[in-house]
This record gives sequence, C-alpha cells and structure tokens, in this order.
Amino acid sequence: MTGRPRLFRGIGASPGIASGRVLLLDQGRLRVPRHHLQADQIDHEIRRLREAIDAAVAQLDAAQALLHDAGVESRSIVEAHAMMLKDSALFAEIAGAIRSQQINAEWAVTRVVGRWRSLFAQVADTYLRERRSDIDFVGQRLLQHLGGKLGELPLNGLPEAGTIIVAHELSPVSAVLLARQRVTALVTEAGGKTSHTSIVARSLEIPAVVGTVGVLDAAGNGDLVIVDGHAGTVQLRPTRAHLERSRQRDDRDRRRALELLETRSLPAATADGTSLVIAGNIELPIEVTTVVQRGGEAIGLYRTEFLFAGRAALPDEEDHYRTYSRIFDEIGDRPVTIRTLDLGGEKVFAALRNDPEPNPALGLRAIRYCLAHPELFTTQLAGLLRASAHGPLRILLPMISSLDELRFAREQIAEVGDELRGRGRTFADRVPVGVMLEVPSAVLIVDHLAEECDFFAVGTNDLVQYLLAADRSNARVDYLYSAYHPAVLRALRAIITAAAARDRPVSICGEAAGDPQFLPLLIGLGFRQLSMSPSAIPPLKQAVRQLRAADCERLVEAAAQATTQREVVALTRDFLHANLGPAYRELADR
Amino acid sequence: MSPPAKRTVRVTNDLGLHLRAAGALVQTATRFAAEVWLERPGTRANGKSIMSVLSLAAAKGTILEVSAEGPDADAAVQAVADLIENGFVQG
Repeated sequence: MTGRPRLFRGIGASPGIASGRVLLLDQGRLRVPRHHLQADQIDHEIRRLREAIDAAVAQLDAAQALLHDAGVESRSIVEAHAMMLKDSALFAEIAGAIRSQQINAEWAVTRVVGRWRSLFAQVADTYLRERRSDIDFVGQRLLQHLGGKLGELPLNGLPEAGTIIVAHELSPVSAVLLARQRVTALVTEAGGKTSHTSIVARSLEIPAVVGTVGVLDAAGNGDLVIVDGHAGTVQLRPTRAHLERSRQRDDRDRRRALELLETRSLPAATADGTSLVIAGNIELPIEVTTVVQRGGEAIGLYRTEFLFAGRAALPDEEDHYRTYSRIFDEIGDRPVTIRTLDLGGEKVFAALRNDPEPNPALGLRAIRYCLAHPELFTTQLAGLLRASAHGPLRILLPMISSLDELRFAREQIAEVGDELRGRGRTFADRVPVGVMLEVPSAVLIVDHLAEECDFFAVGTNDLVQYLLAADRSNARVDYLYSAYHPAVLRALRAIITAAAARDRPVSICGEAAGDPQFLPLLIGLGFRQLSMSPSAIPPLKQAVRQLRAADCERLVEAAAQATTQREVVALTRDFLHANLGPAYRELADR
Repeated sequence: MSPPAKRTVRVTNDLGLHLRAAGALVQTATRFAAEVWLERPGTRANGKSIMSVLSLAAAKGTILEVSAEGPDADAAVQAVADLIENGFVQG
C-alpha cells in the first residue's frame, strides 16, 4: 500500500499506543456477488449454502463460549440466532430460490433475507419489529461464510498479531471477540466514549479511537497505522520518525505503568495520615480482576448497560443474577455498587431503540426510562437483590432529579423484595440504595435526598455537563466543560456537607475522581471514596501518598474565593507544583 | 385417530413472542414427536421452526391456538401452551 501519511483526529476512547497493520471491517458497504447459474451448478451451490450454514453455526457456538468467558450473558440470544440459521424453513427457502431462480447462493440469501425483513417491517409492535436486525444478522453471517469479505470478524482465519481493526462501528459481540483475539487496537468512524467499542476496549485494555471520521475511505488493508488512544489520534501511513516517536512514548508509558504497579498494594493514605478508599469503575464483569490487580479496594461503579447492549431481547432475571453474583466470586466480600440501567442519550441499544428523541440528554433516560418500563426495571432489581446474597451489594439509581423518583424506585425495590420472598428466594436483609448525583436539581435538594437514601455517588461527568449546560463531546462548546468551574466546587461542597449531616457515605466516580490533578481539590473538600477506571488506580494512589490533607484543605479554602475557572486552575497548578515538585511534571504531561 | 389436541392461550409477557421466547418455544416443541402448530387468524406457524414462530409477530395480548398431531400431541400442547401462558419463564 502506498499513499501519503495522514493524521486523523477522533475521540480517545481507551488509552495506550499501538502500531500495526490495518484490517478493514466495512460492514456498511458490503458488495454481494450476483450471478445466474447453469443448471448443472445448482447442486454445488446448494452444497455451498449448507456448508456456510454449518460454518456460521459453528462460529456462533464459538462466540457463545468466548462471550461467556468475557462475562457477557447473551447466551440465549446467540442460541436463538443459531436456531434461525439451522431452521430448515430458512434453508428450504434459500435453496428453493437458488433452484427455481437459478441464482447464486449470496443472491438467494439477500433475496430471502429481504423478504423476511419486509415481513417484520410491517409488524405494528415496535419491539417485535426489531426482529429485522436479527434476520439481518443471520443473513450477514451466511454471506460472510459464503466467502464475502464483509463484516464483523473473520473467525475462521484469525487476524494476525499486530492487526488494527478499522471499521465504521462494531457490534458488542464483534468488539468482544476481536478484542480477545490478537488485535492490538480498534478504530471506528462512529461512536463516542460510551459506545460498545469504547467500553470493550477499555475493559480489555487495548487502545481505541472512535469517532474518527474519514478514516475508512483513506485506509487500505495492510496500511501501517499508529493509534494513540490517549490523544485520540490515528496516524495513517506513518513516517519512520512518527514510528520512532510513538515507540518511545509507548516504552515510557509501559515503564511508568510497571513502576506504578509495584506500588499498587501500598495504602491510599496521604502523607499526614488521611485514608482514602480507592475503587474501580467497571463495565464488564471480567474487569473485576483488573481492578484488584491494580490495587482497587472495591467496585465503586458497575455500569450495567453492557448487559443490555446489542441484544435482540432484554436480559432476564437469571442473566442479571448470574452476572452480578459472579462479581463476588472474584472480589469476595468487598463492596460492589451496581448502577441500574443508565440507558438513554448516546447509549441507545438495539434491544430498546424506539423513536429518537430530539434532545436525548434531557430525555427519557436512566431512572426515567426504568420507571417508565417497569418490567425491565423490576427484572433488573430482582437480579440485583438475589445477587446480594453473595456479598455486600449496593444499588445505585442514576439521574435522580426529584425525591418522588427516589421514593418510587424504593417502592419498586420493596415490591420486588416481597415478590422474591414469596418465591422463596433469599437475599440480604438490607440492600443499601443510593442516589447518583448528576442532575443539578438533585444537588440542590441533596439534604432531602439524604433523608431517604443510604448513600450517594457523584457522577462528575454528567454533573459538570448539566451544571454548565455544555456538551463535552461537542467541539464547539467543550471549552466550557470544566470540573474546575467554581459552580462545580460549590456543588461538590454542598454534597459533602449534606451527606455528612446525615452520615451518608459519598463516593465520587466521574472522570475527575481518577485525575491526579483534581485530587487535591477532592481531598480538600472532604471526599474519601474515589472510584475510577482500573488503569487510573495506580497513579492516583501514588498521588494520594504524596499529598497532605491539611494542605489540600487550605487549597480548597483559597479556591472557594476564586471567581473564575481560570483562577481555580491556576491555584491548583501552583499547589501541585509546590507540593509534588518534579512528580508534577510527570502528571502534567500525561 | 384421536382428534388433534388443541388449546387456546393468550400471550402474557410484555415483550410478546420475542426472539428468546420464540427460541424457548421451539426448543420445547422439538422435544416432542408430534407436529406442533400455532395459529392466529390468518397465520399458521410451525412450532418447530423459529422463523415460522417469529413470523407470527405475536405481541402481548395476542390469542393463539396451540395444536398438535402425533403420538404425544396432548403433552406437546400442554408444554407449549403452559410456556406461553407463564410468560416464558422456565422452571
């Protein structure tokens, strides 16, 4: 492949640097070969169809095993897809089309799939109408095994080591499968920080850049590419100098990570003896191991959206129960805080997609969505309560904006508890129920909420976004998005004060919680439980040990007088410089 | 020949005969030697074919007639009809 170097900017979705060769997975634009057959070719073509079906079924069986290992409970969906493939009615129809119309297998597959698709498209029920995506999926599997180059993953013919996948978007299943093979980085044109690709890449700790517009057209199979998941850049056809620089940075990052790992089990206590609890945020159950390896003491935020991701049907109670209870197998009796479905906004999944909302960030999402879909919510609650029999589980309710929502959710939890007892299921006597503080109205009534909930978790990402009315993924206004804004500091102080008055534990779990530069402000404000992505744990613990809580409190006093975000940033920077000295330089160029 | 076994049921679960429900139904039907059919006005589906069952597009509240013909027809109808009535919650 030839061509000039080109740099693409996207969203850094999973940190790390990797270089390798491009493998394009371009699902969007599959070209299906179509041709008519001679009469004597028909039997051969039907044999090809049979073989493709068998291979596709075998692939799904393999996928099922891998997904299970990854802790993704979507077994019965994969099973149902395999049943569709094996359905003799489907085979008969495709084979019939090959024979009667004398067309090749690929063409027959697209015709038959198209017919089923239009059949499902006429269904009035929005949910059942989504079966279109299942028949599409089945069709794609068949086309792939008929020798097409499209799509998802070449499981029979694994990507070579050092392969970097470039795709429009990856389904959760292919993202998991690819990431667990020898793929070294993922690049997609679509998606944001919370898309499937990003979640899986972070979970499995391979670099990823998403939202990289234009890269599919520019990249060719086999092109060299450097992916920087921290900076969010994709350097296509790098020069020798590019490669050398990225290798140096990669080496340095790895060396630092190793050094930090050696100190991971040192306690997270400041130099003047204030202890902090450092926990991990996870999205897949397998990450529990990573959190423990990185020196995390608890799971501060388990996001359950992945359980719902890209499935044809909603997870049932058993799916929830098995997934959550398995976390305790890994982490023992350490606390695990599980957030109920926070779907909405950018996190709209195939299983639940309805009409798009004009303003999803202010729309029917998270707890609102759950309260509006009681079957979905109570199913998850039942799984959560049952899992509490296995360890100290806490239920966290996202996006609470009023006391009514908290009360209503608690009523549902109580009802599900009664129902479970009626079924003879055992679970913990008291499962703490917490409020995720991320909507400004909740912060303003945090004292009332404290009366009726058991704990708080502050989601700084959404809280900052909603407080400042600035979407950080919108390049035109992202300059406004800053956790150093005085309004954010005031909100955080109000939370700490109200939580302390009622003796409610409060943890902080947005990105700011894992940022060593923001750490002195959090310590000074009085936050003692921080939850962050597993990779952020070792550097943060090290930073904690270098600070003194008393100094941090003085910093916060000074910051409280500051009137602009710029002043707060300057105060914090000077503080870090004075207190960390040379170590600060390392922080600053991370 | 005994008359074919039959029972009329209503789809009770919120999501209707969705993918996994259809999968469970086919798995149940396949355990029996009898032919199993599901019928709603205008459509008849083979209970052992997931594509056929999905094509019923049976949302919550749909009335279906489950019928079977064969040596274990009665047991097949009972198992499939119970599954639908219990909202596909298995055991």
